[in-house]
Amino acid sequence: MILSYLPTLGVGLGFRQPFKSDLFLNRQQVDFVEIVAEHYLDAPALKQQELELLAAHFPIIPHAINLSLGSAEGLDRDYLSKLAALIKQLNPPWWSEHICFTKAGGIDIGHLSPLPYTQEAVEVVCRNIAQVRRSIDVPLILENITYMVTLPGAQMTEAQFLAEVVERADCGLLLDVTNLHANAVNHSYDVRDFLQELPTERVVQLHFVGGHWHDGVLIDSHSQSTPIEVWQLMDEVLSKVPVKGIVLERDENLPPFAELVDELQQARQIGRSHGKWG
Amino acid sequence: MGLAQTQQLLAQLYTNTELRQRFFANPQTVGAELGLSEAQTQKLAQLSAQQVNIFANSLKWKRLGEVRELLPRTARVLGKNFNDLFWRYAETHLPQGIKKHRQDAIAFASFITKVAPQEGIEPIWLGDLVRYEQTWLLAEELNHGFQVCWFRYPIDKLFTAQKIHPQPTIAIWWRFRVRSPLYHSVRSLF
Repeated sequence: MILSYLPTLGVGLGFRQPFKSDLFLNRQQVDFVEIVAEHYLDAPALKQQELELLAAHFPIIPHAINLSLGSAEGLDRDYLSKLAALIKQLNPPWWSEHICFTKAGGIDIGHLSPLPYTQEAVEVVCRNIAQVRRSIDVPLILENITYMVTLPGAQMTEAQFLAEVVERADCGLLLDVTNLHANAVNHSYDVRDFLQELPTERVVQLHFVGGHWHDGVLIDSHSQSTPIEVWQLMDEVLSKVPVKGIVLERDENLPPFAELVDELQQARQIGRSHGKWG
Repeated sequence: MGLAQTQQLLAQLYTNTELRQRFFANPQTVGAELGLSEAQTQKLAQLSAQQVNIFANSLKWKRLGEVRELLPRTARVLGKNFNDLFWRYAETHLPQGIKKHRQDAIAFASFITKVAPQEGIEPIWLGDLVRYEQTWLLAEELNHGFQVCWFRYPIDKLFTAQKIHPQPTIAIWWRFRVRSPLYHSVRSLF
């Protein structure tokens, strides 16, 4: 995949229904919108109309959360066909999913669960991505997740695992700098060492937001404004990486929209200081 | 142990509180019940019980947050009881599929409707309120057709300053075509 050919989208926002009106009143501040794909699969007419409205006003990037690319038992074909139809409808420059599993043995875990950092898991993800590509020909970029559980039997580091998956599957990376910061804090590693092991030339998009602390653990709850450590990490990444788009991913504890716009502006300024987004 | 089997076991540990507690209290016995060899059990037992518990709890809190948004009035009326009832419900229910949060809310509403009268959970019109919000969730999925629900109390007056007395009330939702609006009407009789 030649990632340099992907268009530059700029600074975007993860769409959430409660701030729909504010989004349209502040259209000039938002270059593109990322939607959670699941919200529009098998959707009632009202959601379809919402999607059409968004697509008429913004470039849209579909962000999937439950394809379960890491499931060793294979993919849910029904889910894949519905996701493929949505992506075909939107025809985006790229779409994204996570490097994780969310389903196994008939159980829908309900959240992104880490994979063991093993060769077998690399093979599984690559095999599932090959199957996805038979249905979806739009470029796929893969996101790093946060994880609370460290799985035994690792044969490589987290960064080496991500690198091997994206290299072998020939995908782009969606680097969530908030997830990277949370993992570094919770699992005591150095983000700079992590970044050195990543094929940073494959980073297409960033995610950023703030989380909260609970019992000494930094939770990726998408519920707070972006902390200084994440801004610094974003600055460092943008200084080195040819990122095409960056998305604020606020889900919970939604503040006045002006605060989200301020965060988008701050991200835009950081990008501009490194010659990105005009 | 291959990745498929590992993932199946992890999915169970993440979502089944009773299995998780038993496994970390006595991994060898539970491992044998699950058909694992001694070596496989030893590997799985290397998991941190604390980490798995934190993750498992986060999954339930995530579900609770989604369900609370889908049943907002019920959540407001029940207050802390809403959470307590949800933890009990979540011990035996695990939703699946693309619309799992909506299904979760609908199933949880059924659970409240069943449990509230048995346990005398107030207010007395709670069951009507829960069924009203539940029927909204069902009606929103209607491509066309109608949905009807009867209530013992005037569902449209529950949150007013009026004292609430029993009054047979009907609520109807309907949609003519796939892309036409969803209509809704509430009428009290007598």
